[in-house]
Amino acid sequence: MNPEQQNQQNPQNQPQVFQQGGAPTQPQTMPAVPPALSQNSQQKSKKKLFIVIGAAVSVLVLLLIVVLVFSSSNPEKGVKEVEQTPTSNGPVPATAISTEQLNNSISQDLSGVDDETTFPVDQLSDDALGL
Amino acid sequence: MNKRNSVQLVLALVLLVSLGSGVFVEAQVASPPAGSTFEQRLAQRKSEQKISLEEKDATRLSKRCSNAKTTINGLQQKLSETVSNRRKTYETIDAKLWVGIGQHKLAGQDTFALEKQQAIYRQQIDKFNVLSAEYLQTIDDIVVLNCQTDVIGFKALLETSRSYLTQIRAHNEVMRVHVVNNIKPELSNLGQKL
Repeated sequence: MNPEQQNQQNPQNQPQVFQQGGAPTQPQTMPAVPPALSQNSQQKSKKKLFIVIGAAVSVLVLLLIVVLVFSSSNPEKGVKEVEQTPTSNGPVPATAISTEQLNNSISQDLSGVDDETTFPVDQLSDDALGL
Repeated sequence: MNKRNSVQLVLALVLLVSLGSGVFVEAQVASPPAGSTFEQRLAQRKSEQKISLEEKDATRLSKRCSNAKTTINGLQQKLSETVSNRRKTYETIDAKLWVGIGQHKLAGQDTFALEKQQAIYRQQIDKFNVLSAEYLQTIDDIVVLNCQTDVIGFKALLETSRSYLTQIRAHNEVMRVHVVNNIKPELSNLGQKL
């Protein structure tokens, strides 16, 4: 093949078609941003967003911890709990409910005491011993 | 028959009936001295029970006492745990009373009546501990004794242990009645005033 035929087959060497006035077929638009640059900036903005969200979440978690710690050490709330159950500081004043609970507890202990089972009257009888 | 004779006859009949019905007065058992040996305890129980056996009864007892000892041996193994559990229950109730007394004092109440009841209960617990310890000791002595060579001793220890069992049962009932009729109402009384 001669060089002229090779040139004709190579599409890069095909002559451009111009309209009247010699303007190219492509319309006049904003200069295009190179693809590499736009991807880079998108990644950067995503990164910034993640950082901001992460910081906000951390702040919220810290606030929550502070609130919980503060509320558990609040003396007003502690007094109510002390009235209900005894703390490690010692006995607490009796209430009508606590007295009733104590009474019921003693009844329960007493109900487990059964001499017919533990000390039956015929435990040492002649029949029981085969005498 | 005149009136005087009939009265005498009635009295004689009453006396005969009361003797004939076999009214049995339980021998009084006393706590052996602390640190006493097996022989000392055995001698004490024999003198307390004053056992007398006819020959045929003694023979029958000597033949059967080994089996009885086996049964008592099994009882002995369970008894110490039983007694321990019962003591624990009584002590738990006592501890709860102490806590209750403290709580009512903190509430500014007069707990004198409850403390008095608790003190009685404490004495009752101590008596139970003594009775149960002596009951266990007597059972142990029966297990140790050679019943075939000392039938009288076997019978004396057996009667002693039966006496302790009766006392323990009676005392437990006294304790239960005290808690139900005295301590619990006093607690309720204090609770109602709060």
